[in-house]
Amino acid sequence: MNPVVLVQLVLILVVFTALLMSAAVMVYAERKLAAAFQQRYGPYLVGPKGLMQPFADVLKLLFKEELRPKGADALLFAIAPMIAATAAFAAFAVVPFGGDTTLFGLLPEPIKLQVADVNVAILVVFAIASMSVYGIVLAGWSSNSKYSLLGALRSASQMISYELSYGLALASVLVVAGDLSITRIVDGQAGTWLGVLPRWFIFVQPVGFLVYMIAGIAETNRAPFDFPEAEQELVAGYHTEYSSMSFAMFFLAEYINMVTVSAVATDLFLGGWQGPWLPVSLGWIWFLAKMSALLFFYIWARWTLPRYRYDQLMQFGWKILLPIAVLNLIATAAGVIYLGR
Amino acid sequence: MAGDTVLFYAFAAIMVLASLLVVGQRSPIYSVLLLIVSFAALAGLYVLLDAPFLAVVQIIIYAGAIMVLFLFVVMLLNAPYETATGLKTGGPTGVGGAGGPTATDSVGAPGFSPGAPGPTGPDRTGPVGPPGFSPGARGPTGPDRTDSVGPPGFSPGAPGPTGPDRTGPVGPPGFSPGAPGPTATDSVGPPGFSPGAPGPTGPDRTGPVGPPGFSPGARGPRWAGAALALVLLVELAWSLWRAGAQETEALTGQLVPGTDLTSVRQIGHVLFADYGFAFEVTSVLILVAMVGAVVLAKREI
Repeated sequence: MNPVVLVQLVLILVVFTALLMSAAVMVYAERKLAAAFQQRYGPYLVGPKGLMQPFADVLKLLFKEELRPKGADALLFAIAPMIAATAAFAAFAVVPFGGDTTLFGLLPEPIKLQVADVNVAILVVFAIASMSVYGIVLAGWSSNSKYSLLGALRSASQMISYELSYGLALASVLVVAGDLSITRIVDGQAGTWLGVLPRWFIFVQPVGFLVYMIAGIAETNRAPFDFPEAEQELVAGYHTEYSSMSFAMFFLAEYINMVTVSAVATDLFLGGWQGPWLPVSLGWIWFLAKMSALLFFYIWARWTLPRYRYDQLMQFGWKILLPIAVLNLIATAAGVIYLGR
Repeated sequence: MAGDTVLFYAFAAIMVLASLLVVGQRSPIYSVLLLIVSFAALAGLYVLLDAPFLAVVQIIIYAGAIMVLFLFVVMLLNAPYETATGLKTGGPTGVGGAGGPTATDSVGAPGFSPGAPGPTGPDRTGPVGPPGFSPGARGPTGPDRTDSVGPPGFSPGAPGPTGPDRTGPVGPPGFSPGAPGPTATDSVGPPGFSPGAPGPTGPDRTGPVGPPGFSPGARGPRWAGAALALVLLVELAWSLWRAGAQETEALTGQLVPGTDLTSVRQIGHVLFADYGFAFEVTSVLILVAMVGAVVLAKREI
């Protein structure tokens, strides 16, 4: 087999497995951190320090009965979680997570640590994110349950509303970087200002970063914007009627979406794999560290902030966040024109 | 066969098949989904034509934004699906049927003001919807509703979450007459423009409802609209005349092989430098259409 193709396939396998594992790690981290925030122990029985808890969870889900409500649309009910999970995995395909490496001389030529280097990578991430809403909407509709439908409606309108701010925050980074390829955007953040401050775009685009993170939390339906599953009102939102592995797929999709949002934020705002002390071939360690920090922020926000009211969410999205994002984009464009990059 | 050719035939086959099924489908939901499949295959064809930007934009705009709205409308208006004998209320959920808690008396896309759903709707003793819509075809989860269902999708007199027994008459379908319960949230804007403010403070609406879009006495906006339409017409005529005066090649004949027209930079340059005027006029036109849709959807402002 062509070695290039082989390397590519191995890379795909590695990314896929890593995403699966990241979901497991996130489940464990979420439970442990939540416990820490609430003065509890968290899982500690299964394995040392409860480390095997996510796998126990998965096994439990695997052996549960797969239920389908009477009157549900069988085909769409089965497809919806697949759409959600597929979209979550697919988005990571264009996200680079390290510089060129030869794997310590194993390979004759350096490879990119990225499944597909598309030159419109950012837009691909955005496009796949906009497709993932179908999984949720179809799940809610096909379940034949009013709580599911309401959860799906909330989720969809929330995702559509915050997608605008999300896209505008991305656009302001693009204006600064002058490129759509994530790899080149990361390369543009190499070096430091005055020898101290790294040239990350977060320092050029602090507002953009803030808007991106807020919209990202809303996009992934996480607290304090977790209206689709506001349990006091909607039981569990769009996946109320799902059980067993179909539910696990939604669960997986949520965590992988979080990972993707954090990974993109790392690449765009935090300099990706750029960092001191480590050679470029080990840059992915920096990438992982920065991404983990953002994911910690995600969990932190969930267990610290209470849920908003739905109208507050919409007010905030349309009347505050979107104008800020637009103004930020205009100011950025003016800055690039009159001050240069 | 080269890989590209195989991919081309695969995408083309998917696209043709999906497009045919869009027309052949009975359920509108599946039609919408198949249309999305068709768009996705079209995006694949764009990639094969070395136009990745166009492909991604196709997905973002058509599959990601416009079709979501289509899906919303079809799902929430509970569009009937065709059977051999006629129309039947569609959908597993039967929004109209199970609509006790979800009814928000909304005309536009109801999903945008889904706040404040109450518990199950109380007994509704309203009159029966017009015949021909298979009364009794309510969603299987519809709780206490003992009567039959109105015309699918328009939910005449949709009971608010806490709406008491409602016995008032029902107007013609499609205008969602009168405001039922005290909590009915009348204000449904376009996506997001007035998304909040549902809830128990919505006052009773008792005033007569005019036909959509024409609030009585407000003649000003109509004249403004007419003036705008006139301006647009003149602009269109002028730009067509100007385009006709130019060499046609300047507009159509630029696809010289080898030129890199597909990069985002090139497209942006062409769009804003050569076609700036057309671009701006189109955006004004879309804006006008949007305002028109808002006015039509919202009966009183």
